[in-house]
Order: sequence, then structure tokens, then C-alpha cells
Amino acid sequence: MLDKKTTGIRKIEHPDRVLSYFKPEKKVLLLIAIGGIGFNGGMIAGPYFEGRLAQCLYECIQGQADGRDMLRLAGVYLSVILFVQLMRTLKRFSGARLRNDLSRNMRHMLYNGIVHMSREEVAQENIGAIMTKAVADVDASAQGMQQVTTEIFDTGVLLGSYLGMLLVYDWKLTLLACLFLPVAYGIALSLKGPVTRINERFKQTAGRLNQETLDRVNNAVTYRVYGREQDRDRSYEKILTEYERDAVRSNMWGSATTPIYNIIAMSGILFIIGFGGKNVLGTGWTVWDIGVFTTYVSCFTKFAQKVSSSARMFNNMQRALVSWRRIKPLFREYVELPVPHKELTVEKICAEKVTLSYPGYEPVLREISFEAAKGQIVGITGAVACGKTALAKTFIGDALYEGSIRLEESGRACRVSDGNEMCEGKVCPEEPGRACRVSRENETREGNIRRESRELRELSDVEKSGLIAYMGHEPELMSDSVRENILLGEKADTAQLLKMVHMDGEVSLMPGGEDTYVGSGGQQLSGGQQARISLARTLCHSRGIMILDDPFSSVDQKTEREIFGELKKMAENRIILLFSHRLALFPETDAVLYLHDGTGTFGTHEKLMEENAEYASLYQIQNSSQ
Amino acid sequence: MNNNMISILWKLVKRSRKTVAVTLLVIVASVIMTLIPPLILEEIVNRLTGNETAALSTAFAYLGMLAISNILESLQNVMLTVMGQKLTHNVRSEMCGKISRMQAGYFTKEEPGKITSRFVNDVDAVDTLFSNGIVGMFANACRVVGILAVIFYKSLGLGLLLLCIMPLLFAMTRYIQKRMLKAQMANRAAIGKVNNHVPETIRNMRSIRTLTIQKYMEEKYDIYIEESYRALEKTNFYNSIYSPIVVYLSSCVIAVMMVCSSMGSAMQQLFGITVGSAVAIIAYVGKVFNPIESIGMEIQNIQTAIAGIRRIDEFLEEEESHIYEEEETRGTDVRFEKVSFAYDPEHPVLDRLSFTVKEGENVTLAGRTGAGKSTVFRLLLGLYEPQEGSVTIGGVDAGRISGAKRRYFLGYVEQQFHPCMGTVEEQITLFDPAFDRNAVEETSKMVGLHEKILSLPRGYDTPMEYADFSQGELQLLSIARAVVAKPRIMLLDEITANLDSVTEARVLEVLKKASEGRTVISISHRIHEKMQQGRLITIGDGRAG
Repeated sequence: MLDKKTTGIRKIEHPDRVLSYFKPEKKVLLLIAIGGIGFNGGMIAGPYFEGRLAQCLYECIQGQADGRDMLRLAGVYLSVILFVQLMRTLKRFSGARLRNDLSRNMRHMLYNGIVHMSREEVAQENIGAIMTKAVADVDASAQGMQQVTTEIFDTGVLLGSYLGMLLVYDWKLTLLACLFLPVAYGIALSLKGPVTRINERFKQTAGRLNQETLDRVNNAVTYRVYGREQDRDRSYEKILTEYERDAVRSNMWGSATTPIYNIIAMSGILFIIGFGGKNVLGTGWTVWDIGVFTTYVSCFTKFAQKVSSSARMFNNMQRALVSWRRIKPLFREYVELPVPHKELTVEKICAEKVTLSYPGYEPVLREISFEAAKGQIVGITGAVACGKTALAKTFIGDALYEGSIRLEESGRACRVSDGNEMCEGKVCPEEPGRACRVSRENETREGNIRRESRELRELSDVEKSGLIAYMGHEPELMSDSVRENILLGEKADTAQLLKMVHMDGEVSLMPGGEDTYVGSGGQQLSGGQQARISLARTLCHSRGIMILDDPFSSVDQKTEREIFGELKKMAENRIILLFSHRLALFPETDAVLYLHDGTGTFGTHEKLMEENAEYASLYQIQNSSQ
Repeated sequence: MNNNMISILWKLVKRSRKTVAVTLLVIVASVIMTLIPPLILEEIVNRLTGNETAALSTAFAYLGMLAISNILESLQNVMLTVMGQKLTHNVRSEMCGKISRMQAGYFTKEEPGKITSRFVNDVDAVDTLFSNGIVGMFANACRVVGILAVIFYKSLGLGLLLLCIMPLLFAMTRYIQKRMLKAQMANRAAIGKVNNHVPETIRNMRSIRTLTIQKYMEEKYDIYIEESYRALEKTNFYNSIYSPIVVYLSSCVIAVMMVCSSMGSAMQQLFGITVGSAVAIIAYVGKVFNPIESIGMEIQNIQTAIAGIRRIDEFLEEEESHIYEEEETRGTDVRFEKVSFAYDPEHPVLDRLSFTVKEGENVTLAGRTGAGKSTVFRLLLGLYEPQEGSVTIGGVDAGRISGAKRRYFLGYVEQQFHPCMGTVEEQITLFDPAFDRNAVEETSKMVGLHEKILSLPRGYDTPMEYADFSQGELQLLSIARAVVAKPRIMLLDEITANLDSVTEARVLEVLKKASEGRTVISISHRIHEKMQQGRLITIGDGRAG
């Protein structure tokens, strides 16, 4: 696992504010500032010294200086450039580090929100796609945040120092030469509208092309069956032509406009060559040597280029802002769930007149009553769509119920103190020392330990997960190894667990054994293998109550019997509710709940065989055909 | 590389000779033009050192040349896009045509997402290979040669110096680029895991909640983002040092040149330059290293794009289904005669299956799962060909009924509705202009969807949204799609398997109406039981009983 100390992943307070993410980054920000000021301030050193070198060469040729002067100058030049470039390295690296940090913490926070989403949020349409897109938006946002930070220096300091140097050399000429910059900028701004529109359009066409490609491929067989292939090909050709046109157009506007800004911004060079030349000859506003002239020219060129490219920077920031606005509402304050107490055993489940429904729907089952005590396996069955799964899901809170389902826990002993019952630290995991809300009528005395009986619906998800293990129809495997899929962070003997579900042989034949990757959603395994790994996972995370919804649906009778034997062993100090449509093993259960006609009949297998003709015939049909 | 891609490229080049010629011309002109402005600057400086001002025309020439070189560079860019787009357009057209000829089995073998990715990502890789690879490399090589030529002409010593340095610089560039690529690959792999983890979390939310493993899932996610973080950190490091090293190197070259030029005697002879050419050369030295970096990048682009091109070639080389000549049918009797079929030789599905369904008959196919009931339909639809025996409709081999006519013969309704892109109306017509609004309305009235569709925001023109329809309604839409063409034979494959009993009754009601006066072949026990009509053909052990 990850060593927390060596990673810089942090939880952020107020994750929906941009500044919150900058808070832990003080050191990096300082480095960016040092590098940014050092490099951008020093950028003028290049043109300055290159001008001096040219001037020195001129003097050498004139005989006013010699090689030693040049050597000295070159030495200074190289060391200054070295410093400036080191600063540049620092700036670039810390800027990238900032972005990396920001994006890491934003992802971390976003995921915390995702993994703690409520049932309603998860049930939303397209939630998976929304969240996946959001994760991509994180990158764009982090990039924008970094750009804003570094651009303060890149544009602000750099342009400032260039302009300062130009002004110092000849302020009149500088003002004159810079006359064209606002023009270039103005044109850039006025063209921004059409350019973005054309880009937008291209993006839309690209999106449509993608959609149409997916549609053509997805429905290839449908189109063939209905004889629509040629028509679809023509339609695809149409969108391809549109795409080609828009791509070229968008590229043309993008690449044609930049040189135009550039040239307009560079127009000032006319004044520089004219008036600057006069300066050199001593007939201008100030006196220049040839070195100053060349410095001035190259400084101005770089300055003009920077100005005309800064428009692009604003576009990037705009894009980042859009991304940020999209993800901002998805951020939540950091959630940390308490650890469930897993050693609790349940003495008894008591369901009385329970009516079940899925949220927002009519009841599925009415007036169900049954009981199960520690050490028992209760079989629950019925026809297809009789409400088995709804009953199983009630125990994990995915279906709602009226009436009462009470769980009697034995581990949760409470002591009386001053009329308030205090939990003993060990057994009350949530908040040691917190007063338990236990009403007297729900207690039964047994020696000096009192059992507490609690209503299922009053338990939180975390409390439920400490008491109840659930295996549903969906194996819900992760794209990870066989072992990880069983353990999910728990420590256990996976070989033993695989043996219990009769998969040890198959796993040992897999290329990586228990380390074999199961594929996304387990798709590299067969359905039966997925189901058994899911069962092994449930056994690994076993609790006082085990809810097993159709665990044998994909195994043969013999394996079913053997796995059932393992379950029986496990049931010693547990309650197992076994939901199944196969009744072969029901004679071996302690009780049976038979669901029919929107309600249920509860009794032992033998009793039901005698008293319930429907159940009896169901059992007969299944077991005579074998 | 392979014939396929090359042949597409070749065809394109032949067809658009003019564009190719213009592109090459622009590249060469652009290279030459970038060489000129520093030469004018040299002239200006040399005049100044001789105590002369530059003529205004020289100043304009300088600006003009700058402008032209800028514009040519843009033009080169545009031409490359034009060429690249033409190429990708052709490749995609070719691939789309291939889909129509592909054997039906391909679409069950390959995931649609993967095939789409070939269309989108791999074809983009072709563009990269072309524009940012081969052609870009040509342009940059021209640039390096041009600049070196001018430098050699101006200063032999500096030219030799650069000639020594450039291979070293190139080696360093490639070294760093290779390292970066490796880190980028690691990052991409990690990002893949990061991106996969989110939908996976949402998909597995029930397990996560019942096991309270939110913390575990978060730690997993943190591991993935940390992997990506570390890989990016490496890329960032190389990125941060590369350009400063190159700038420093060019400063060193400038310094050496200047010192040597001022040394006098032999050295000066070798480097011998005027102040003007020193200024020009400084400008050149700054430019000569850029193309080197670009060439390195272009080599990399070519290397990574080749994988994409291979995948496209594989796709284009997939086996195609046979195209047969069309034949006229006589009646609509369906006949299977000693048909044997297997998707793969080891697992035969049908073994000498024979049966006949007369015009207007109502027949249900029965048999255990995997007995080949759906296969019978696929053979009838001409998606597959039998290895032995014959499948005929109206006396003509199923494969010889043209796509255009098939819809009027066979209406195929599956277990699941496959929505296509477009409006609700287009779900029914499948973009066939032969069915006007009247026909569509008539059909949807028959299946009982007319009111439902009118209740949508834009009626029949509402863009199709899965969520607007219930399972049963989707199935009715499926039936509408089939019956709009008034086909003579209906093929119904377990069409009520996913429906609850109330909806099922509704669908069956519609189906009864829809099958009046038609031959109906269906797969479903429930339909057989509930519709209480027709003959039962059992397909088991590959033979009709």
C-alpha cells in the first residue's frame, strides 16, 4: 500500500474554492516566484550581452579593444546566461510541480465525494459519464491555475523588463515603435469572436463525427439487416466532408491570424531602423553605439512576439475557467466514515408484518413475518419476480420496509450508569463513551449481560456493514487481481476461501494464479467464476448475518452441495439467509420462507411440504427431474 | 508498413498532384524566406559601422521579408492541414466502406469501442505521422541545411563548430525524448487506471457501501494518482531542463565564435566575420537548434503512430463477406434444406437442419439455449452463410436478396432495441426516405406509440433519448421499425424476454395485429403459449423435429 508520509496527497478544506488548493503549495509558489523573477528579469541579459559582444567585435576590428576584452565579456555573458537559464529551469519545474500538485489534490477530493455519494446521487442518469468527464476537467482546471500563476511572471515581469530596457535606451523611439502594439492587440481582440466561433464549430463537427462513427459501428448489424448500409455510408461521407472543411477552416484562421498580429506589432521596426540608425550615427535623439542598436532590435522583436502571443494565453485561461465552473459544484467537504465494528454477532432476527417496496414504487411484498436465530440457515424462495431480491436488499437499505425487523445483538453489552446506559468502549465502535439510545422494552436480560435489540432501519450504513454481509446478483468485480477482489483490503487466507467456493483448481490453472487480472468488471472470467469470486469475497467479509442472494445460480448441483456444506460450518455463530430458486438443499435448512402472491409463508421445509401444496409441487418438479 | 495504407496514400498523391506540388513549394519557399531577414539586418549593421544610415527601402525590405516568411510559415501549416485532412478523409471513407463489407461475425468478435477507436484515434495517428512526422521532418531538415549553408558561407569556422556540435545535441535530444516518452507511457497507463476507477466505483457502489470499503477504494485511487504524479514529475523534469540546456549551448557557440573572431591571425581568418554578419549569425544560431528538437520529436511521432497504422491495416485486411448477384424471388416460402452451420469448426451449431415455412404460416422455433434458434434467423437475414445445404426465401438464397429489398421481405425484432443516432422518427425509418411522415404515423398508431411520441417535446422530431421510453415502449419502437416497411415475413427473437407481464401483454396485443397476413417465425415459449396458434419447430441436436 501507499506510504502516506512520502506522498503529498492532502485533503483540502473548502474544496469548492480555488484558493484552497493553493494553500498547501506555499513552498512551490515561492520557488515559482524566485524562478519567475530571476528568469524573466534576466531575459534582457541575452540581447544586452549579445549587443555588447557585437560592439566589442566592432571595437576589436577598429583596434580599440583586443581579444582579452572579448574573452572577459564572453565569460560574463556565459555566466549570466547560465544563471538565467538555471532560473528558467527552476521556474519551469516548479510551475509543472504546482500543476501536478493541484491536479492530484483535486482528484483526491473529487473522488472522496464520488465514493461517498448517496443512493439518490448514484441513481442519477449518466452519473458515471458525468463523473468521468469531471475527472478530465480537473486537468484543464489545474493547467489554468498553473498558467495564471506563472503568467504573472512570464507576461508581467518579462514585458515589464523588456519595456523598461527599451525605454531606458530611447524613450521617444520606444513610444513611437510601440504605437502599433495596441493596434495588433485590438485586431486580435476583434478577431477573437470569429476565431472562437469557427473553432467551436469545428469542435462540434468533430463531436458529431465521433458520434456518427460510434453509431455506424454500434449498429453495423442493424443497418445491414435493414439494408441501410449504403445510405449510412453516404451520410458518413457527408460528415467526413464537413469535418475536413471545418478542420481546414479552423486551422487556417488559427495560423493565418498569428502572423498578421506579428507583422503589425513588428511594424515599429521601421522607426527603429530609421531613427535608431540616426542614434548610432550621432544625429538622433540619443547617442547609441552599434551594440545598443542590435540589442534594441532583438529586444523589440521578442517584446512584439510576446505581446502578440499573449492573446492565446487568455484563451487558455478562459477554457480553464469553463472547466472549473463545471466541476466546482461537484466538490464536497471531505468525508471520513468510522470503521465498522465487525466482531458483533447477532442472536436473532425477528421480522414482523413487514411490507417491502423500492423507493417510489408500489410495495413488492406485504405482511411477511419470519425469525432466524444464531446458528441457523433460512432458505428463502419463490417464483421468478416474487420479491426475493427486494427482501435481500432490504437488509442493506436499498429497499424500504414498513413493520419491524429487529436484530438482537449479543456483543453490545451495556452498563447502567445513572440511568443512562453507557457503552463499553470496546463494543461501541462509533463513539466510545457515547450514550446508547436503548429503550428498556427492547432489552432482555441474560445473566448480567443485557442484549440490545435494534430496528434495522435505524442502523446507519456503517453499522449495518458491521452486522450484515451481502452477496447480490451482480458480482461487482473490480479490475484487479483475483486475490484483491476477494480481500478488498481485508487480511485473510485467500487459498482457503477459494477452496470453500470450489475455485481453487480453476484459479491455480490461471496464468497468474491468484494474481491473475480479472479484467474490467471481471469480464475475463466466466459468469460462474465471477459469481464464485463474489461469494468468496462475501465469505471473506463475513458478518453476524449473511444475506446470500442466489449464490449457486451458476454452479452445478454437486458443487452447490459442497459449498453449502461450507456454509453450514460457517453458520455456527451466524445467521444465514439463503435466497435461491433451487430447492434441492432446502430440506437441510433450519427454516424456509416461501414467497408467493405478494406475501410469504414461513415454516420448516417439512411443514411447508405438508401444508403448502404450491411449495411442495415446486420442490417435487425440481427434484424429480434430476 | 503495409500495402493498404500506402496504396491509399499513393492514390491520394496521384489524385491531388497540384496540392502536393504547392505544399512542397511552400515548404521550400518558407525555408528560404526565413534565411533572408537576418541578411538584411546584417546589411543595415554593416552600413552603420561604415557610418551610413540605412535607406528607408532597406527598412521596409526587412519588415516585408519578415512578413513574407511569417505568412509562408502559416501557409505551410495550412497546406499540411489540407493534405492531412484529405488523407484522413480518404482513410475513414475506406474504413467505413469496409464496415459494409465486413463479415457479420466481426461485430460480435470486436468491441464497438475498439473499432470506433480505430476510426478516431488511429486515423488521427495517420495524420500525425504524415503532418508532424514525414513532411514536418522534411521541412525541418531543409531548414537545418539552409541555415548551415548560410553560416558556412559567412563563417567557415562556425560552420565546422556547429557541424561538430549538432550530432551531439541530436543524440542528447533523442536521449531525453526517449526518457520522456517512457514516462509519458507510464503516465498514460496510470491515467487509464485513474479514469477507469471512477465509473468502476459507481458501478460497484453497492458492494462498496455494504462492505464499507470507501477508504480502501480511496487508497487505491490515491495509488493510481500517485503513479501518474511520479511519471509526470519525470516528464516535467526533462521538459524543464531541455530547453535551458539548448539555449545555454547556443550561447556558448556565440561566445566561442566572438572570442575566436577577435583573436586575430589564423583564428580570425577561419571565423573572420564583420560586425554585421556577427549580428546575423547570432540570429541564425538561435534558430538552428529548434529544427533539431523538432526532428527528434518527429521521429518519435512516427514511431508511435506506426502502431496505429498497423491497426488500421489489420482492420482493412479483415476477411470480407461474399457479395452475390441479386435474384428475383418467387413467393415468400422459407426453406431450410440440410443446413449445417458452425461459427467455428469445433462447435457445430446446426447439423443438416431442414424445414419449410409456408407463406402466411405462424411458426415458433423451440429448443434449449444454444441449440441455434437465433442462428436460424441470422442465416435467413443473410448475415452468415451455411457451410452446407441451402437457406432460401421464395426460392432464392438468403444471401442473394439485396440489402435494399431485404427490409421489405424480413422484419426482424430482437430481444433488445438498438437505438440509432437521430430523431424518434428516424428510429422507425432508419433514415429511409421511402417512408414519409404519414407512413411513420400510421405505423406508430398501429403499435400504439403515436400519442406517446406526440407527448415528447418536439414530437416525431425529438432527438432520441433512451430515458424517454420505458422497456416496453422501446420494444414497440422496435416492432414499428420492422413493420413500417410492411415486410412479408416477421422474425421475432425473444422479444418479450425483458418485459414484465403487463407490458408483455401489451406488446403481444400489438404483435397479433402486426402479424396479420404475414408469415411469422418467432423464438419464445411465452409467445407460443400466449398466442395459442401456429406450429412448433423444435431445433435440438441441430435437427428439426
